[in-house]
Amino acid sequence: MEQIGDNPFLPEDIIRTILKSLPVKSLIRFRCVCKEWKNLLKTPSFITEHLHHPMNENPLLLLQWGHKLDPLHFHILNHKMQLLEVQPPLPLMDSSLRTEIVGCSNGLLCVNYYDLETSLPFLLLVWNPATREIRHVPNPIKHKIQYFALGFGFSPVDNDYKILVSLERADIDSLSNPLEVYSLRTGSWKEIKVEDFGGLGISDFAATVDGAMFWFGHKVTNIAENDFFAYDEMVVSFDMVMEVFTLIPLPCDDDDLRKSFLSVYENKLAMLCDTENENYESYRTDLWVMEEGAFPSGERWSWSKKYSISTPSSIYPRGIWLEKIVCIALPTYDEPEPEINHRTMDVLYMLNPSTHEWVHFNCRQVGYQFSIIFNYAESLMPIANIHPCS
Amino acid sequence: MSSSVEAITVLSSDGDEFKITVSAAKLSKPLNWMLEDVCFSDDCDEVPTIEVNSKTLVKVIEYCEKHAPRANSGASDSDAEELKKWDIEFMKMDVKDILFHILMAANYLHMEGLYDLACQTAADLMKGMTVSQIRKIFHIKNDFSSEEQEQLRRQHPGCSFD
Repeated sequence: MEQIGDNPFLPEDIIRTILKSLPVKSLIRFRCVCKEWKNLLKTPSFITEHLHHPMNENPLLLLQWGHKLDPLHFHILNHKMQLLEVQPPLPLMDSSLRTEIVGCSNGLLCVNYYDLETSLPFLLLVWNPATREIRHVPNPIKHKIQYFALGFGFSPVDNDYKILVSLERADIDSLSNPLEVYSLRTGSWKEIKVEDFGGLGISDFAATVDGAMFWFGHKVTNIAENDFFAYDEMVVSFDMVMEVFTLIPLPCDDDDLRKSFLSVYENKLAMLCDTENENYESYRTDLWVMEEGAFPSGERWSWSKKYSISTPSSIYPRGIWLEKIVCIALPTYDEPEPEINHRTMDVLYMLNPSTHEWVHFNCRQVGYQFSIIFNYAESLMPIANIHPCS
Repeated sequence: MSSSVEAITVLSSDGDEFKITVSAAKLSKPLNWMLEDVCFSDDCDEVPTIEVNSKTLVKVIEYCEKHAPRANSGASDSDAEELKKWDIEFMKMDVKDILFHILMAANYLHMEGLYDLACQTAADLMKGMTVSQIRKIFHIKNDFSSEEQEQLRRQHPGCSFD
């Protein structure tokens, strides 16, 4: 019988391959093995290879309480459907503060601490929950009273993470307001000039795909006699390298699209829509995917409807996780019992678009009702030293 | 190479003879090259040596023979599922004692499937180990000075060098 002591010395490349398959928690501990391992574990190429290792292919679902009542709870759901609580980056300094996740990329989260009453920002930080590293983001250059984080994401071309903020409220007229971008690599803010989009507002949450942030955009076109607003709707993208905005038309569909969420499907921008027919008897969830390129039609963008699935009740898609559409049910006004509302709200529905199979996940055990979801993978990604591409 | 040959004989680094079927040997690129280069007919007495010890080579050949039918003909999902279960059992056996030897052999023989499987097995074993256990199995000396250890402890409270 060979003993452990008879183990051969493994060459560096084999050790590197083994270490890439280890979870972040173990790797953090193994930084203390020797200097060589410590240095290897902070090498940018190792960190990137580890992040893209097949073991990390099953991202975790990061859930955030969406009703602003609960101050700072994040939960993580793994592919075995185990729900784990995540300790927030910083304790709550003041009971009037709340937290929200601005975005999530390569294991880094951008978290905004804001005042519940005024919605004014208090603190913006970038956080790696796996390594527990935190970076406080300084105030924007022209920050006087307020700013609103619009998005956070990774830009692969310049190997940088960027935060986009608007210095006025985000929902109305936001792209006509002063905008600034923070670069994690340079550690500084920069004002960005955009052409006048005149009254263009964007949705709360950005989906980030391949170096660009995407929102739903809306613009009031005219006010009709009966005081109803007419809107032009589109997708607004922000290229994190060029720092320019582009307006992308939405697909044409026979039905009136009820655009629910932007997400990522097979590394492409995806749009989730929920639709009900006129007599509110049947419900449907659609998954659209956008591709950019030169198309024969002369268009720069092409939308295709990948899936259209009948759903048993009115549910609201919130994103895509492990190729499944994650949905929540919101309370309907005609349900008289608040208890019923409660019951329907703490269930997540995972819909497999290709098999039409449903999985229900009951969050009642923890008593939270999630409405914002992010795909999150643990990583060793450092926050302090982001290196430019070599 | 004569097409009538179904199995070949190879020598381990300990000098023991082993039989391996041609289809199983094809899982390894170097073995495949050997098949093309070396004459394996009966009147040829050259027996190639594989730089892997006998104990490890037994396991490597066992793996190859099991995986060969699937690698050569493609497999249904149920076969793949069965093979996955077999891999888990294969790695559960006394392999732990020779895991690092298997890693070296799979690397040397360019056997991607076995290499990935062995790396994952090693990672699973290491997951819960302490720093000193890791140093022991990898023959690593703690080369941090006491000042460096102190500094690391300050940077990462709770880190352990034992």
